[in-house]
Amino acid sequence: MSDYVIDDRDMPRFRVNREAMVDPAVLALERTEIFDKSWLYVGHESELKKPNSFKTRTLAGRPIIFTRDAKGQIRVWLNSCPHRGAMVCREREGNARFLTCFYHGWSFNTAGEQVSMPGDEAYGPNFERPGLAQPPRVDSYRGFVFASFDPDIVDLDTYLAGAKEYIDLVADQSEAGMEVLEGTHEYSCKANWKLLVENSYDGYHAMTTHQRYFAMVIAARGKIDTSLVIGKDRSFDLGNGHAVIAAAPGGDQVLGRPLSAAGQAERTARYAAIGEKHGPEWAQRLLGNRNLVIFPNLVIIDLVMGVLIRKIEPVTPDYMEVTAWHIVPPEEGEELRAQRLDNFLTFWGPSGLATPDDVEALESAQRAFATRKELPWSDVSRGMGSPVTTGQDELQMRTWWRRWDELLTGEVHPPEVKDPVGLPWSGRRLVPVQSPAPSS
Amino acid sequence: MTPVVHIAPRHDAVPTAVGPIDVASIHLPGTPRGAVLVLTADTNFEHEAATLLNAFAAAGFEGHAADVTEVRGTPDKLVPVLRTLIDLVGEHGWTREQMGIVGYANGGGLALLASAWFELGAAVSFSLRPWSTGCSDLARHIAELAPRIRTSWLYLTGDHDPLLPRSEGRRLEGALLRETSVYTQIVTYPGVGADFYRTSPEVPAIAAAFDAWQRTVEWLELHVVPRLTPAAEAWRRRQAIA
Repeated sequence: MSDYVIDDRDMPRFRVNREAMVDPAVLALERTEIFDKSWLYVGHESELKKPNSFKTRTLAGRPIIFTRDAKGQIRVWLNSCPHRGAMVCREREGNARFLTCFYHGWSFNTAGEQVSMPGDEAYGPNFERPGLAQPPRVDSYRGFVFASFDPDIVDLDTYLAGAKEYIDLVADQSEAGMEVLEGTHEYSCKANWKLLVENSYDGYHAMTTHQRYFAMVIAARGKIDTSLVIGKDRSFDLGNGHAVIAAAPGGDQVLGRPLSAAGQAERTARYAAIGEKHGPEWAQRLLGNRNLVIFPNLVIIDLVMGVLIRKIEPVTPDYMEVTAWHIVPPEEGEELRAQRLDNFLTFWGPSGLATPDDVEALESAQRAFATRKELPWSDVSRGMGSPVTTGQDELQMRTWWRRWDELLTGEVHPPEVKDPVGLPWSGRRLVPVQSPAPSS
Repeated sequence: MTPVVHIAPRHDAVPTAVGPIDVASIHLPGTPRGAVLVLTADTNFEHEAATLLNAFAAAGFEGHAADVTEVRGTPDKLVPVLRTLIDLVGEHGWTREQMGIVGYANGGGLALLASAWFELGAAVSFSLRPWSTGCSDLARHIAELAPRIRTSWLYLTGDHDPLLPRSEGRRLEGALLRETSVYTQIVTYPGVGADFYRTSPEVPAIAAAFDAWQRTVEWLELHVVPRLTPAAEAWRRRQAIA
């Protein structure tokens, strides 16, 4: 039986041992049993606009190069020279046909092939010239690129399971293809990385933690009708540890700065066009809000006023680094774009009206885990006995923790059985997305 | 930019479709990093060409410099001239992707034209001037060519250049991002004019010229395909057979 999770279906009660948030041995296990055995989000294809564009970033603690090679193929390389280990590329981003290690000058193209090494005659004619190394598996789903360090992992399509549908709900917002904007939010938090996973789809905390934000919205919009949102969402177990809270349409009336009549008309027209193409029920779903976590550390938050992609990287048990991107439909008008950018900054930004509150809450929890001898358990039971769960409940976190516990301890927790839901959540795309063949 | 060793370039009059063009060349022993074709439009070609070719040699690039001050016209007239000059570099064993082209003023316009007609390793234009007379809208001139650009192109200019005001430069950047299939970049230096790369006692121009040179060499390093060494070629042959 797991030391970390108590999944009592009789009471019912779900508890997580706070030792999981502070113990370095747990993080070491997470690295080998979760991060080395999952599909991990690398980036979005739209970030690499031209052949030979590259971005460097961290994936499961490893420095990587995310690039589009000269032929346009997306590649992920480990950013370490096969010669003596230095980073081949030290720039955060750029465009280069060749990446040259500054230590001894070995040079590689964006397809990973070695193209030169100074004084190569000294190596002898039979020397095997190594190229760049890559994670054993790289694949993408609708522009979202993932990699895995486990060569035997299931294909990405199978891994994403029910989460694919929620990626579709983002990807379908643009005819031209959704595009990640240049520029990222990067911040750190002195708390365990799993606390931000929980927080990212925790509807229960919104009204208490984010009072300041709602005060700003009320000041901008006048009276708002929170009954459109509160309790009007549902939470879903999407399989393989992925989960989502998804709201019915109406959130755009409550969140973000108000649009002008012209801006609102454009948004209405855009969703009508989506309805024409993909069906009205699908368009209705699109108009709702969604907070999605793809196990283990990818968050996609779609609040109509903007769509955020967030990646959470643990560094130590009590310290994480967070990167967030904003993904947009490139064809939308200036006002809708301005509203998105405003929300990206004022709501999700590291100095915005929501993120600092969340960071404070998580750091406060981490500090208080010093009491774990006396208070060893956190409670994640809300809605456990309910046949229907909302975003105020904690099904989504339990889903994540059950997968976490299975990978770390081997204890298998069956999913909670819930009542089926109707519209708008059951709305389907007119033509289902065809699953692509795995690329590597 | 001043190398310790000064190599005197060899000069040749190269016959082209518009008549003979004075070409200065510096050849390097061993396996140079790449080749560069410099298109200058300066009055003092002999001095400028020698200085530039020595500077490129110090960065590892074999160089040829052509005086294109008088070379103007429409693309159908100019492309054959460019082909002659590119083939001249090719005669020394360089493939097109192993070549960079760097042009100044009128030569900058030709470097852009070359980037649209030929798939080279890299192209750089300093304060480019249109290749045809009577062109008053440089941004449109460049934007119209954008869908054809096949070589990674870097454009360096000053924000006092009357042919490309800063606001136009920003619009042009957007057009290039949308329209080109390869990577391009515009760098606009504040407080300097179109002649910022020439010797100047003014601090902004000195800083801009220094930065522009660094960017030029880096652009070539990043985009020009290296010539394989004999050992590397032998290894590739074995790999292909295997």
